[in-house]
Amino acid sequence: MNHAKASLSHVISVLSHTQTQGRFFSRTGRRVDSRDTLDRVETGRTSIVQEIDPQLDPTIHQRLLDLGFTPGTPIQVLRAAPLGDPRIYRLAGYEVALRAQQARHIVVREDS
Amino acid sequence: MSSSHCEPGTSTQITLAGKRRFALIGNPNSGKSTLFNALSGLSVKTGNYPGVTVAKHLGQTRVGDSTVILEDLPGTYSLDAISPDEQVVVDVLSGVDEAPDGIIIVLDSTTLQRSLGFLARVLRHNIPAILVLTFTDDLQRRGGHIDASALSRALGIRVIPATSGERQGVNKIKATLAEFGSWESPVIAPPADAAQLTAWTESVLSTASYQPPEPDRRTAKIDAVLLHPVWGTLVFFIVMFAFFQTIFAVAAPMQEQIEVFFAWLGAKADAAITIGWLGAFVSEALLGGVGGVLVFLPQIALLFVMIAILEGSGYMARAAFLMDRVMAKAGLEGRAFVSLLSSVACAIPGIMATRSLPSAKDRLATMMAAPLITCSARLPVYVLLIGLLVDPDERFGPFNVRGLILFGMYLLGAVSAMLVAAIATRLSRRSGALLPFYMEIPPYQVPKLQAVVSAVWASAGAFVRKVTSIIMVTTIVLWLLLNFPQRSLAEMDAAGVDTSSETAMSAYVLDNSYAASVGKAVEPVFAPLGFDWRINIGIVSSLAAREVFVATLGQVAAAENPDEPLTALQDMKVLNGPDKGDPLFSPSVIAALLMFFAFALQCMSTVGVLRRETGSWRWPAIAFGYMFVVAWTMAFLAASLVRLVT
Ligand SMILES: Nc1nc2c(ncn2[C@@H]2O[C@H](COP(=O)(O)OP(=O)(O)OP(=O)(O)O)[C@@H](O)[C@H]2O)c(=O)[nH]1
Ligand SMILES: [Mg+2]
Repeated sequence: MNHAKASLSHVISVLSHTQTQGRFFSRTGRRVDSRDTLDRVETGRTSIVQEIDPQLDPTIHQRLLDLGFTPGTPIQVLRAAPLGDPRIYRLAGYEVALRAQQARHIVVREDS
Repeated sequence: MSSSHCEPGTSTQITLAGKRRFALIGNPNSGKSTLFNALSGLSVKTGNYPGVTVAKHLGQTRVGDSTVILEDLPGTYSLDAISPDEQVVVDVLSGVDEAPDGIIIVLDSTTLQRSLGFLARVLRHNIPAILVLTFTDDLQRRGGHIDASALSRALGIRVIPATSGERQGVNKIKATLAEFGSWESPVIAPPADAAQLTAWTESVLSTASYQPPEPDRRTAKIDAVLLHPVWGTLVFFIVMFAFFQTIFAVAAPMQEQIEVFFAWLGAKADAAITIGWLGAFVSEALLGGVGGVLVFLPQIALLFVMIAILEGSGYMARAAFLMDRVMAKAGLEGRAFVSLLSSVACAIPGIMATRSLPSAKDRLATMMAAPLITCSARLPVYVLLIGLLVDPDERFGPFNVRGLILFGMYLLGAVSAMLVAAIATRLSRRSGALLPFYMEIPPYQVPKLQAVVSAVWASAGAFVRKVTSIIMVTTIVLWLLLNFPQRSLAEMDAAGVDTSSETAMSAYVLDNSYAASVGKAVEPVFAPLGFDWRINIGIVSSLAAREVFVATLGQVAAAENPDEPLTALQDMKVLNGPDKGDPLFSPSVIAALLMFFAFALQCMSTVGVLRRETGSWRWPAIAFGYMFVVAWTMAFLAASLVRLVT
């Protein structure tokens, strides 16, 4: 968990942050800000799916698409479980709970 | 399909030869099983959470002048299966399993934005298909709209709206099945490419003037409380607590009514039967033993009412959501919690429910843990033992102490199941889940009265069947073992028995019966727990079914005092050893028994299902072994502890 590492020390925090960002320099070289993944969107807010991390395992990738996380879909963060994770998202007319571990692979942009 | 006592299954005999087959395919929770039941007249399990159906069920229905076979399948979001229940669907579509002639695609009309992609992938298999739209009532209530005939034109297949298996829709489906030969198929197959698929979905939906529903306001309001970190937890515990109080407060009086009935029956039988041994058989084995278990029908029914409400309302999915973090500590996911919660009815459906878990490791860990959850078969045993331990009116503050202890036993089962799951995931070398956790959270529904009634009816029926089959047979065998070999007067004289006393003679027969030799043979194992051979025989025979323990005690009690079986048990004395003459069911023995039944795998059906689901005898053997060791140890600790404090 990035959050956990970040709280250890400043050095580790910087390192892990760089790592996270590195992962999101996608193959096309386009920089995707690591803040804009679904797990970081605040509760109550709506954002739009931009893409699913292309390096994600193809089966999970497909599953997320089948669950409605297709590019262009608006997603609202409804609520978090008592310990912060998982969270319930509303999209495509239904609600689904997802762990941050998976939501992290869904790249979103702000709803304009 | 297994036809275990716990699962009200579909046991209709069906001949498949020469009949058309139609499979129900769709996303989880889209109403496939509801439709299947309405079409076939069967009653497979339904419930308002994804993953209720985990195996294929067959049924049949008459359409026009022929009979067709229907297959109810598990739901799936994807045709890239990641769990065994989803694989069932993929196998059907790809023809690995015998392919159906046609498929009935069942989609929830409120979630079409998501499910059209699934529909597209199903249609690409080129099997003749029709589409049934469910939840149109919900769509309308929440301000959504769809034009079914426009949707049909856009898709190129027939579309039939059918809400909750209502007659109109069902008749329409039957009529459509009869016209199988003339089903239309899409002119061009839907696209496979992801981006094109999104465009296709959008265009189909706009052609059908689809207006997606507003979020369900009622659900939002309820979730604001039930999923609230503080209130949600509080409500949960209050409800559980109230439930266990109810088991004693509400069900006990009903139980007394049944007991009165059996006492009356006993008196009638006594008067009518003049053959000595037959009278004893009827009053001891049938009324005392079998009847002694049957009186717990109200408690069982009440338990299943609660389970039906949990399953029908939509709370199960939320429980999985709330518990996911806790389950993660045990190396599992929220879905595994649904499986554990199902085990409150019976471990068998709980073990079956693990088929919806993607990870083999999680499945195994959950299977090892599920038999520890307090199942409905333990309920009569607990109620009886707690009844022996505590007076009915004893209170702790506002709470009935009996209810409190029962609540504690359920809590113990849940906590130990979690611990076992945690240990099992740590020990297992199999790889973890590809996709640890996702769970659709469906809108709440008022549990359908009919569904609750039929669930309770089915489980009450299953209980009565179990009592009148396996429990009755075991009890009769036990009665024979307890009363034979018969001894001659000369033999008893020689043994120094007072042959003028009926009681002394029957005590001698009992103490020298075949059953006694079995009970005494295992005495070395159970003596440290304070059990004598009479309890041992109850434990050994309860391997057939836990309730047999109650039947055994009921039998022994009925032999002594048929009118007041509980008093008879309380009056039973230790026969040998240093404590001779003390009550047999002392607090320490009862505590040991409670622990033993909490942990021991006294259920051969569960062993059988573990064998089937894991494909080897290894895991059932491990489960049986570890649970016995834990049971014995906990019983020993409990007995020692109670002896210390009393
Ligand atoms: N309001 C409404 N509720 C429905 C309708 N159809 C089914 N239900 C309810 O929705 C829930 C799910 O129904 P099931 O028939 O169990 O769904 P399923 O597709 O078999 O679900 P899985 O076996 O989990 O894949 C149940 O509580 C049903 O009572 C419908 O058309 N309208
Ligand atoms: Mg179903």
